[in-house]
Amino acid sequence: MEKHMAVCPYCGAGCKLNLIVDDGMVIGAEGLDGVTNEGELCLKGLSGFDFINDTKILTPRILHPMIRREKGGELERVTWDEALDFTAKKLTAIKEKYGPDAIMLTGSSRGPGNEANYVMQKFTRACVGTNNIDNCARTCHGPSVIGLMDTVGSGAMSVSIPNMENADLIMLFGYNPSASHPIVARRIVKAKEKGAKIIVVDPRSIETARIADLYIQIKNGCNLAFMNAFANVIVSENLHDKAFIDAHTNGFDEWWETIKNYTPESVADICGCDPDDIRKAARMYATAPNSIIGWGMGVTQQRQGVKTVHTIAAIACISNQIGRDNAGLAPVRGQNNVQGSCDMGMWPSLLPGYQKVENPEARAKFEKAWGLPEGKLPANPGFKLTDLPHGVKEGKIKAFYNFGEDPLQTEPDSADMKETLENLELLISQDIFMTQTTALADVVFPGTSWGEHDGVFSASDRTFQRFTAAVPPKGECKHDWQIFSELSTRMGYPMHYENTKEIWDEMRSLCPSFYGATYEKMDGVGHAQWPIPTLDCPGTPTLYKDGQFNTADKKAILMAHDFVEPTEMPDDAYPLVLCTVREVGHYSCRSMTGNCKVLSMLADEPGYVHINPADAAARTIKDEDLVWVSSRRGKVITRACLDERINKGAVYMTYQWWIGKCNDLTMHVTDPLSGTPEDKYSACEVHCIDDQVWAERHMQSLYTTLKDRLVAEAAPQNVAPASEAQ
Amino acid sequence: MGSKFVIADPGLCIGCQTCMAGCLLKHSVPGDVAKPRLNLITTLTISAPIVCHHCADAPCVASCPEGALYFDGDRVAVKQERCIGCRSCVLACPYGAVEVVSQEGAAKLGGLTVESAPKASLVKCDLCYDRAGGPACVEACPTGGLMVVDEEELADRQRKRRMKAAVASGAFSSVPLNTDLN
Repeated sequence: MEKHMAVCPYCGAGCKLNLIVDDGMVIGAEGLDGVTNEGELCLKGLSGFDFINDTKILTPRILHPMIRREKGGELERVTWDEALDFTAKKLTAIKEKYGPDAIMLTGSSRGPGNEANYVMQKFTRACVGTNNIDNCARTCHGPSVIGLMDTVGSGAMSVSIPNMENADLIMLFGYNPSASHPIVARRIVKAKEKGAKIIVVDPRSIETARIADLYIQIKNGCNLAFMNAFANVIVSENLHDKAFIDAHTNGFDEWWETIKNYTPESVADICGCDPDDIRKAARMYATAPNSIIGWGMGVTQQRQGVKTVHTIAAIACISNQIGRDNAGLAPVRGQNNVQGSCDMGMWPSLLPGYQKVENPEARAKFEKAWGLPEGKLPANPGFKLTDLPHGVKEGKIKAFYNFGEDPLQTEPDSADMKETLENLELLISQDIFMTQTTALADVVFPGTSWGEHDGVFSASDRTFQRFTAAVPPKGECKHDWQIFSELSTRMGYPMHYENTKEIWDEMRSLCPSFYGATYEKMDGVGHAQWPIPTLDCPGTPTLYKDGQFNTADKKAILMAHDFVEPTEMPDDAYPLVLCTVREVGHYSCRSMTGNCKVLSMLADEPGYVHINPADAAARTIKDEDLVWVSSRRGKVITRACLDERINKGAVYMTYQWWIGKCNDLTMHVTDPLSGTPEDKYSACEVHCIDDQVWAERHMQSLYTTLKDRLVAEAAPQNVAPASEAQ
Repeated sequence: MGSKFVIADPGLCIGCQTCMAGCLLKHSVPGDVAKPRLNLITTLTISAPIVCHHCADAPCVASCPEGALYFDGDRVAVKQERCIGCRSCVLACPYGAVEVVSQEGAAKLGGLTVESAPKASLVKCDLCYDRAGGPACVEACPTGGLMVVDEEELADRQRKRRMKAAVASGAFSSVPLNTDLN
């Protein structure tokens, strides 16, 4: 039995663990004393390891390269050489015919790690010659990245996860840490034990509401109105820090011109709460010695996500609740390495290390390091991930290189996404599982899984930590960075790396704020928290100390905006608000956790629609009944959970289910400032099903059919190519 | 007589089901029944896994006509081979902590293996009696919200509460007490 150090591949909490290996199989996990988890793990960290062993519970792993010679043809297993030659030829032809900007790529914020992503964006920019690279932050915390860069200069948490437990007040706004990040929820419980005040503002009575000193139940979709009123109270009651505002911010007077109109009474109907509760919360927040605001998808997956983040940042600044160890901003990132994808420049306007593609000096530096002639790197920001559907419809995007994501499961309006992917000239999918997206691909590249490769992840609080391989690659799986390098070499831009350390060292030499994060510092349970500009620097748990913001003049920019209601308001046909949320025991598209024995036993298809008992009674729906949920986009079957924690008039579905798939119902409308879908708000209706026996059979048959289809799609990989068989 | 049991602190519980995962990891092995012995229950104000209390005068033990449930030192234990699946224990348990599941098992008929003869299995907490380090759920809980309560813990809680009550009784003393002693 051996133990191999790793970092959990699920949420952004960055939990260190050992993978326990026996006879080449991963058979267990145990917590290690990492900086964020202190030896603890949640259910995913503890029991989410066996997918590596190819359990085939949900869908098989991909172990061999496959191609589809003709559009609509069958997948065929080929040698790596043939798969890479085929892909290089196709991509080169598309580039020559339509230009490099007809090719779009997405990084993977999941198991591959920072090095693989760095090499992918290098391939994108240096070899393909486009900035069309993005990552799933677009669909989650994109508005936090953009909104915080606009106002305070860095698109990340300003506080560290460990320091959260020493705050005097934590306010959670549209954030349910118990489901998204149990190991962060643990810090909030600890803060409460140490005497912190807790405020929860959320339409759902979430777990943390039970230990809150003040819980404000708001209506879905009112965020900006609520936060504007919250800010209004702070200034109206003279709780703002005028000296800090004068010394460290710009634009207060103009900001107040908008905010002054938002009295608590003026937003009471929009927010559905008592105006005095807004006052009470604002007073508690502004007057506590050290306050932290945590927010999640409840803020970002909305029509006005970026604008709400602007207001949250302004509130922290005017109250001087920022720039201290226990006071600041906590947008806790969803996926294990979504912070890392952003760090590595998987962003259409940013090179690695948050260096803007529009900055000629930054481009010149990268051109020199990458051996490119001057002026070779593209200067215009590329497409966003959510530009893909209309980009394809308008004929601007012809090829899509999907790296370890499953947009058919995780993006809104799956029917529209399916049409998008089918209309591409070339779809490449580099993954570890046969997902619904990979099943449509023209090229399938088998990457190594987490547990089979080394690398560095960035935890949500900017903490770099190393993880190592526990078992050798299966089948013909190759490390992701090797696949990109070999493809790049075939397309005329040779790349070669010996190992991830070589990649990491190249990356940090080009990114001043990461330079001091050496592999040595991250040995064992070591970590390096950026900014870490020098080899001597111990890392920076807290951003903006002494009011020094990462803007040009070091001052925060205060931005205020008027509230606009959500795009699709409920009506007679679709009277309920549909809000998509997370399953605590599953992760992302569920390809990993759905193949874990314990996690799939704890929660399996079709998942649940959580509904207030009164709304259920009005539709003659009983607890555990199978029901239809319908919207203007589609109709899915799922199971009802009558839940008194749910506000009336809204229903909640987790986005991990392939049959009870909420993204068949959601709408492809995005925040124009970030391109983030409005997943938290669309209109739907829930219908009872009279014949529950039929419904159970129907659901089972849908599930079996889908699993059988994915097995069939992956089956050609079992037939060795003729050239090898001889 | 049972005298040890696992309890959850509803204030520390974050509803994450890690205890259930820990329980399943322990029990999803050949020869055991892969079902969590704890069940997370949520109401508006409470989140907590509910699990067997190994009652000192266990109604499940009393209800079993076949002696499939019995006292084994600190815990209420199960003789799986005696279970006939009558579910009297399920009816008797006030905690809803006993379950009877039907498992497809391979039965032998002479030398022949006959497929899928259903066998009833009784599923309840066994306090991980055969696990070094005690109950897996307690160890797994990331907030330290679960604990094993035993005679010592009960006595300790009683002592503390009696002490608190004794101190509070000063408030109704019929003669004034010397507060300088504090």
